[in-house]
Amino acid sequence: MKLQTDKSNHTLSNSLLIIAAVVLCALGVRRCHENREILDVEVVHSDSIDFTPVHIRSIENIGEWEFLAIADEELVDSTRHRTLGRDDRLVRIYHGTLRLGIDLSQAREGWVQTEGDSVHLQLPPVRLLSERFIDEARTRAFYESGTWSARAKEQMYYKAARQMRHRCVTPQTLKQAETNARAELTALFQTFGFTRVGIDFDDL
Amino acid sequence: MKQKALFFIATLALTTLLGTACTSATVNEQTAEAALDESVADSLDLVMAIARTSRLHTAEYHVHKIVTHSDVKFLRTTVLGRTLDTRLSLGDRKIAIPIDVTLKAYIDFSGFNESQIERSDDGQKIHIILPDPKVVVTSSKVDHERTRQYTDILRSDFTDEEMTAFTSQGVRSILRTVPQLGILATARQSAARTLIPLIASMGYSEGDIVITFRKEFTEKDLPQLIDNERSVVKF
Repeated sequence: MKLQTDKSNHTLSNSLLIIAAVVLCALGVRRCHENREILDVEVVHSDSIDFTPVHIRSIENIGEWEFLAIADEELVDSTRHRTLGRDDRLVRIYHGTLRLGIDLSQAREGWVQTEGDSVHLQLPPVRLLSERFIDEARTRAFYESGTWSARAKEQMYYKAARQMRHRCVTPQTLKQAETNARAELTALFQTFGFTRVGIDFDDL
Repeated sequence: MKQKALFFIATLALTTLLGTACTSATVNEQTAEAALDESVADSLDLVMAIARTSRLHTAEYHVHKIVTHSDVKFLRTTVLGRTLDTRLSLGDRKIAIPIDVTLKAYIDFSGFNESQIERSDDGQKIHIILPDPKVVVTSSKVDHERTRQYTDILRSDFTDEEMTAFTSQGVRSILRTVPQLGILATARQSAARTLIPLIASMGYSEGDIVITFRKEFTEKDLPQLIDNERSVVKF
């Protein structure tokens, strides 16, 4: 009787050992496959840039007062037709911020006139403050097939700039920037104690 | 006793297996959530945004950098959490991208108010505390004509997507050097040069006008004040 009980216990122990071994093997395989902690072999490459110096080309003192900032994105598509096979295509999305305002370096002598609690400002016209407004580093390469030259990419950049300018620098946005300039400068001069603020803009 | 120990081992193994499966599911859910967020952000980026501002740009820096990248392949072997990288001789790829970046320092007057102006009792002297200066990347341009890439025969050319990613990294690295560029001091001097004649025309003598920033910023302050928005650095 005792012998039979020992044999039964032995069989149970073996079964439990087999179950434990199977579960541990499954766990090991799973971790190896998914978490890659036990054994993993892969081909990798670095995707970060090297350390290189930054050169300051120029430093300028400016006096540009920005009253309207228009952030824009333009999709530019370029296609090169091939006689045989599929056409080459390059699609890029450019990002730019067009800033409208006044350049105080263009203000005339005596552009601020005060009299008691009144002030009159004769401001230069509102315009696009900088012709270079595209942040090419934020460009998104949307689609590329074939090989594209530097010249083609330059042309796409200037096309994007033309499109942005055409879309964002309009009589309406210039007028809006002028309205903002009046409101902001009136508020600013009122903080200096002037109760009446008159503002005029030079013609373009 | 032996049976109990074996039963405990088996239970532990099963629990761990289930735990791993649950963790894996959570990770997948998080990845899906992140992907959803990214798609929302992408669609928002396509909207043309118009913002009313009152920013006095006082200093402009033109900065040049040659962004370089060396693409070397490694065989990465991970054994029990330990990683060993072995360089593979499959051929190298290298690229050099010259970029020109324009940085402008500006003072945002949109929140300027009377609390930032102090006058002496006799009204002869005025002290203006300027809002904190900020630096913005107003443009960046890749010199495509001078971009050079060198690829071995077994490797493919760099794609447009890879090149734009390196350019973006290049601008980010320029932003990290802003504290060393001295743009803060230039912004302050230039602001004074623009504002002192303006305030003098209100009837103050130039010698009685003092223009300062909210606090004396040191190099140590700058890294903590970099904004999350890539193109704007606050001081």
